[in-house]
Amino acid sequence: MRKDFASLAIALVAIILLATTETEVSQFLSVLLVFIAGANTLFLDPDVFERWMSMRGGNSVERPASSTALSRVDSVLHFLSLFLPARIMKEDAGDAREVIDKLVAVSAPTWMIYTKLTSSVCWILLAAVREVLTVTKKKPN
Amino acid sequence: MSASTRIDPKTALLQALISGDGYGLELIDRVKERTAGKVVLHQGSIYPALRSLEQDGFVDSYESEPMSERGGRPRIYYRLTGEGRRAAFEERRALLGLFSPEPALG
Repeated sequence: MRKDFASLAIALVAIILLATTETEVSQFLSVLLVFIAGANTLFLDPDVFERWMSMRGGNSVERPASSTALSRVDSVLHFLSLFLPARIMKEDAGDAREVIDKLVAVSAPTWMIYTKLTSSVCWILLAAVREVLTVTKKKPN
Repeated sequence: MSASTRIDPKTALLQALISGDGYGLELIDRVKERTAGKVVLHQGSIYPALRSLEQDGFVDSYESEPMSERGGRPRIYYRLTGEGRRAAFEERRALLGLFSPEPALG
């Protein structure tokens, strides 16, 4: 029984690898790494992060907090776009990004940007669930 | 008592689209502005309503160019179809009929 599962898993991995090109795999891995790195420091204040980096002796790059926040927002939204429907990403995620852009333009505090991002991610996921339910509940003609 | 007014998002959107094409955030602002903040549509409810109107043939949609403030995503604009415009005006007449003649106050 266990052998069957193992061979099934190997067959699935082989199919996925055959169906995707090497570039797609490396693109996916790089996006995943960016997301993990972004999520790791998502709720950390960029100034604290920069100070921590300089204390560790790392090369600290002077970047405005807003651009750091925006690049993190983009990594999160980009990661979501890998598995969510394009329409939801264009509408819900696009609107969320536009609101965050306006927050950055009026120099809103970083915590507000991340709070907006967190709530937007919840709403986007909810919209995706609703979309799936709508599609699956549709009666066949 | 709450100062907000309850209205079906589809009705509000049809009325808002009479004055021209619009995308999600813009339509939320348009409805809020026209009703002096009494009708507030939420992002969670606006897109299901717009999609439902699109499926009914009352609105159709088109994409703008990708925009940097949306992280390279385009805006999806909605506009009334001929049928949608007819439905919107019929609904407007019905609503106005409901509110007139104005009741005597006091």
